[in-house]
Amino acid sequence: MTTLHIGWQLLTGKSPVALDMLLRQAIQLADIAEYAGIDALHLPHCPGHPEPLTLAAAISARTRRLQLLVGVSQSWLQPSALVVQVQSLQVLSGNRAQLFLQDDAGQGFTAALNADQRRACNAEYLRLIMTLLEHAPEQSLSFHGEYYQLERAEHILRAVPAPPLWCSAARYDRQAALHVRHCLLGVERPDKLAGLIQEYRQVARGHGRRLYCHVALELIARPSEQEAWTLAAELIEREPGSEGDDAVLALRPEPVRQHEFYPNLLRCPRTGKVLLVGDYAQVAMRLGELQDIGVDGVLLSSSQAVEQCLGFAEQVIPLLARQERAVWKP
Amino acid sequence: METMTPAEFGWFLPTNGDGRQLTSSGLPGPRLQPVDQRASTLDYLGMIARAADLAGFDTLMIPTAAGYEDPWLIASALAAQTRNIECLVTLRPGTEHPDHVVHKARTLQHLSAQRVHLQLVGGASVMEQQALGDFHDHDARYARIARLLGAFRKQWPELEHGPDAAQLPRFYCGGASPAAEQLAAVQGDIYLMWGEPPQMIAERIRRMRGLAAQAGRQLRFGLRLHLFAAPTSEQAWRQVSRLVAEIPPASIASARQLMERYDSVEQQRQLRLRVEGEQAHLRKLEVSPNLWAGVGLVRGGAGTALVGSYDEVAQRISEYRELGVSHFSFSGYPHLEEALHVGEALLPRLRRG
Repeated sequence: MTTLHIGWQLLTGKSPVALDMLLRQAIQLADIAEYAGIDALHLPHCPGHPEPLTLAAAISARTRRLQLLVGVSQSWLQPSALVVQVQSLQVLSGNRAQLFLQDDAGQGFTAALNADQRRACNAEYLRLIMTLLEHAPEQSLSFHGEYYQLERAEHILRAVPAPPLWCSAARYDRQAALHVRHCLLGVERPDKLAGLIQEYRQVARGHGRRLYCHVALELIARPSEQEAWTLAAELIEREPGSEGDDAVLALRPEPVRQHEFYPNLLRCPRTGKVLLVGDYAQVAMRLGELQDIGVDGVLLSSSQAVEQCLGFAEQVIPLLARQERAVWKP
Repeated sequence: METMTPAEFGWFLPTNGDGRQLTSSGLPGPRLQPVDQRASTLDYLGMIARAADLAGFDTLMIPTAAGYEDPWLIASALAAQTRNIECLVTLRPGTEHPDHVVHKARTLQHLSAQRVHLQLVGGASVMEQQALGDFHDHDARYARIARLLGAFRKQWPELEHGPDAAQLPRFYCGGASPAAEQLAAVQGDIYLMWGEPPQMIAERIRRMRGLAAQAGRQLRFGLRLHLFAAPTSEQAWRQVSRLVAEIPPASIASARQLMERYDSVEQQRQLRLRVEGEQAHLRKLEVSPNLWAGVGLVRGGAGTALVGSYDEVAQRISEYRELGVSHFSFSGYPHLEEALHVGEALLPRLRRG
């Protein structure tokens, strides 16, 4: 029996690596994720990194099963452009596309909007793309909103399945609840996380919908606990941070496990991201525990992606399967 | 005869479907598509791309319009399937932020090992533009292209540097309106035209050279043509006659009505090449030796074809070369078999010329 939905995501943020190398790494990771039986690959939109729709198309041509979770933003793509491209990607990939609506950072098309305007624009954008994606092409469709207008959009639409939508917890509101199927929550202690999951699911149930809740974890899984924590310490040491943070940390160096807020869950002091650290059995146990409190899936990542992805597939997934939890039904 | 720029020969990728009939691809609307249509699946398009690559074509033109697969995604998906052929990706600015377009182009250029160039189009169908949410008029759309090309030229060297830097794509620009001509003269690398009689092409090249010179630039020139070439002239014209006979009469009238509404001076030039009325007389559509305007009876965009023996077609192309045309994008029906056929029978003649 399958257990948790397992996704892998490309690391983003400022990178010293050139775009050419990032592309090759991404494609290599896609090959490995497909081979390893990972369910989905998340391709976030980030300047300096491969453009996710373009990358998704390349990956779709060399994979058959891997779901492609593509990061999109209204800052860069008008609703019609997004929908036309996504419908093409659905055809090319055999309906394996999923869309992650990234938080609006006030760039590109939305750079000139204030916070309230961006919120209103976000809501209109979401409403319009879902209208376009779910529209039956034989019916006429025009839209005249405050931020977006189009006439007779049926001329550019096709009858392909609408991809599932994802968003972050920060973006999940009553409007999003009408359309979004998957929500990425911040990682907290399981007892607190369980309460958050219930809250978000309550909002979805109010619209007659089921919400799938996911968390993102950077993975350090090794044959031994000691090996894993040594790697974690090295990673934290390498994490970029402000000069102020570095100065404070230098005054008071702490063992890495001081940042462990729950067994095997470590929050990086500089970046705030959460690592899952342990031997394979511990990692499997912790993931099982997350699933028990209602987490439907995890988006894993690693700076040593090839090694961690393959190790996870070969060592952790069999342990998860033996835990006999609920079958994933996306 | 002036010193000729080395020629570049390209093939068209029919990303809205393919087949043996004139109504098989490049149509204004899906309702005109016949039976026995080949769907534009990735597998089928990959076969055409590999065939064109194998046949020795230099470029693969990937179009854009409603009902066509997205050209960027196609170029990306096919990048690993070809070795040498360069992709001419059609870009219709307006619905993506310029910074995002540059981001996509960089990604695709690296993905394809520097084998991508861009064909800029303004968007001929007002209906389609408004369906996309674009309500700019014709000249405003070309001004927008100019701003995008400016963004490319400014950002590219800032973002791409060092030994692994991606090359700036070449910009192919077309259009016969004053705004389109000005854009191509000032910012384009190659000015693309749809097939017209040689004297009309000569006049356009003269005018464009003048416009480019005013901007202190030089332009190359390209031509988009369909091909119906065979060992003998008679065989080629017989083939074309069969194709015309297969067109449902109502299709010609409805296609013309649609094309007359296009906001495109280049499209209007193609329409005027043809005789008036719905009756399609085969040789009456031969608007200059071996240049036949019958494809345009049912196809928007490029509507002319060279029809004749291999030697005749090669001779006509040589004449265009002498006028200054150095890039040709061809197509044939079906595009898979014809890529190999033209590659084997015609390309060697063209390269020798």
